[in-house]
Amino acid sequence: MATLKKTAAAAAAIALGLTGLAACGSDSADDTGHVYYMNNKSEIVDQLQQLADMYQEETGVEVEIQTAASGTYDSTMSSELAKSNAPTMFNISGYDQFAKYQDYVEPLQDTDLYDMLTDEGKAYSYKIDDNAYTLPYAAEWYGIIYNKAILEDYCAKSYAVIDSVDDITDYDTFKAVVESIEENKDDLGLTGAIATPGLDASDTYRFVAHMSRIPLFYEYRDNDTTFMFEIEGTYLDNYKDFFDLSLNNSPTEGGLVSSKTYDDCTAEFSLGQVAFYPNGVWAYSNIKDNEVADEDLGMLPYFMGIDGEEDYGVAGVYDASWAVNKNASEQDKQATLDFIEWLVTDDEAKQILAKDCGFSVPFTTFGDDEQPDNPLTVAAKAYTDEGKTEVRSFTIPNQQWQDDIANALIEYAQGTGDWSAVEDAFVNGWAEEWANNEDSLGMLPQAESFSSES
Amino acid sequence: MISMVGKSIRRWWALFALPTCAAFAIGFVAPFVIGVYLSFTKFTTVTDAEWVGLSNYAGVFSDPEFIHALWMTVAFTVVTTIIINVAAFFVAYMFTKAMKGANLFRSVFFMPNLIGGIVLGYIWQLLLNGVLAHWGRSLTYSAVYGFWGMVILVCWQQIGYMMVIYIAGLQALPTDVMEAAAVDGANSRQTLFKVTIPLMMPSITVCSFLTVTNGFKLFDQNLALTNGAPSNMSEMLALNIYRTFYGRIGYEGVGQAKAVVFFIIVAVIAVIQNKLTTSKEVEA
Repeated sequence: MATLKKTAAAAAAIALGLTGLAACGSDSADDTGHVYYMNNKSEIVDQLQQLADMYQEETGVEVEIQTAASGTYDSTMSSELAKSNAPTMFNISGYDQFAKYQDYVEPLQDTDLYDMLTDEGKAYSYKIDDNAYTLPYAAEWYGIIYNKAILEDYCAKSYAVIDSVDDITDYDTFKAVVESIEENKDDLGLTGAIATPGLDASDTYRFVAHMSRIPLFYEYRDNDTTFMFEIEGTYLDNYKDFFDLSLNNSPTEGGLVSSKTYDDCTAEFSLGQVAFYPNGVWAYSNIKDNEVADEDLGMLPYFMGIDGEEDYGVAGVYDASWAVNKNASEQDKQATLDFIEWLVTDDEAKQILAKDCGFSVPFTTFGDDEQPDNPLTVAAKAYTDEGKTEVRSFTIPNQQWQDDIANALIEYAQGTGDWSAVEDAFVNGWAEEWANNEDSLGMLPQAESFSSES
Repeated sequence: MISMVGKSIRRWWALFALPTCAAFAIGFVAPFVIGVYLSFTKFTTVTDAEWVGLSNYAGVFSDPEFIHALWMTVAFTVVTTIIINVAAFFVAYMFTKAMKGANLFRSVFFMPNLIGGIVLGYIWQLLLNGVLAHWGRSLTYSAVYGFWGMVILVCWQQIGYMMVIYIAGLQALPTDVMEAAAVDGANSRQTLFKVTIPLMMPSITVCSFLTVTNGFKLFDQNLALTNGAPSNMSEMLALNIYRTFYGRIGYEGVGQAKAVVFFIIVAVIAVIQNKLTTSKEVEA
């Protein structure tokens, strides 16, 4: 009896101790390899799973998808990459993330996949020397979104300074229209001309990650380069003009903008309370099914009164990219490349990426039918068809640079700080953060000739 | 003579202690040791760490924002520890007296503790911004607003919790001592300060320990309420560490070093505080 008890107790104790470890054992991948994709877009989890299931059914290759939304992506990646079953494919958004994972990315310039990228896609692939490491998979555009219905209504009024929205072709006209709408907002049934430049953390990216790249783009143009370690902020005054214009003609007073979230600002536009909303094509998912009809959505380029800006269209950004883990086994790498190739060549997969995920995928394999239905994307792409070059979103140093500008903007907006603090964060912060990057990463982006790029 | 059970325990204790020891080693000792090790390295993931010696620690003390966050945290901890404990003791004192609906009020006061810090932060952000909007300002206007906003939030959240501990302490007070005090003619004020509070020192030790460490470790509420605005002036230590770790690539090591410094500060202060209050504890 005693032995039985002892044996049972010992067995129980061992079982307790070992159950935790049992889950750690994993079956080794067979010859075909497998795909493990670390995704950072929570909005497309279902679609990705569907794609993974389809591929698995078609080819028998195992595809595992894990999603870590942007806030937790880096921490998840840090722990996942350290495992023996590390992601074979992952997401890279922005230069600092690329630099962070530079030891894990496989050069892809010699693959068939890389050749399938469009020229813009290739331009946005992160490179070191002759090696290209990332495959942009979602092109997005940003500019000044406007409500055609409100503007048509406005144009019919006696106080209108334009006859139709097509007359807005430069900053001066845009400014005159904004100020005239603000002046007559009660008559037009609006609460302001431009959506609030909200500076809650959820909304600052519009100003520090996107709008900030407009003066940068033109400064690079003047210097015929695609990267500068130090900038002068030549066009920061234009940025200030635009920011002031938004601040003075929005529904919210300056002291309160820092409490306005992304949702607050988007709601102002989607409920038809304001005519203009500077943001990108992704905002469509929040705008649709509200007070603004799809056919009333239009997009203007960011006008800031910079010389030559009328030759350019809206700004493009190709931040979201795929990368392949170079530390994965050869089979896994091949399996991953095959999976990506399938994603951008299979008709059904292409439809899912374009229509369900709403991505404009910068691969030449995507025809006109395989583009998103998003009316903002259509409006943005129309500028390219008109022959206007899109403003390119050049690399910015890191989150710290953005946060510092956002902080300075908040203080400027609420009147507790000067504009010089914004300039300081923008110009000196730029050099400082790149120096930091160079220090800790041992690399900087490569400068090429601006004209050869565009 | 040792019973059968005692004998088995003597023989088998190691086996039964194993799961707990393993869990402790895996869940606490290993991460702690790795964490300290990582503070001396430059790393992206735990497997690619590269030894850099003390340079991360040099980065910690040359960062003015860390020093600012440290003083901010100290001030915050002092203020909240005092307010929470005084208020919680007062409320508990009230609720242990005969009072209608005391049980209902206890639940009501305890409730805020059941809500997560991030949610509370957003709720209070809305509330406080709504009030400040009358003056055309918001919480980000200056660090003073953010500081007091956090004080209000944290007090509101923790008073109920400390109250429960004080109530338990008050109910366990020996009645004979109280009666003796009453017989000796002590007035209520004398009873409170000369009898009740000295006897309550064990509860006070626990509560002040909790409030001091909670004050130092405050993160969720800071993140949700102000996120450091304006210009990181309302940022406390935990948030500063988080931002260092994730804000700049290549600063993971500095963030880790800050976390180690942070641990040492909290541990030292908690030990001192514990010693101070424990030394005042008396037996009835």
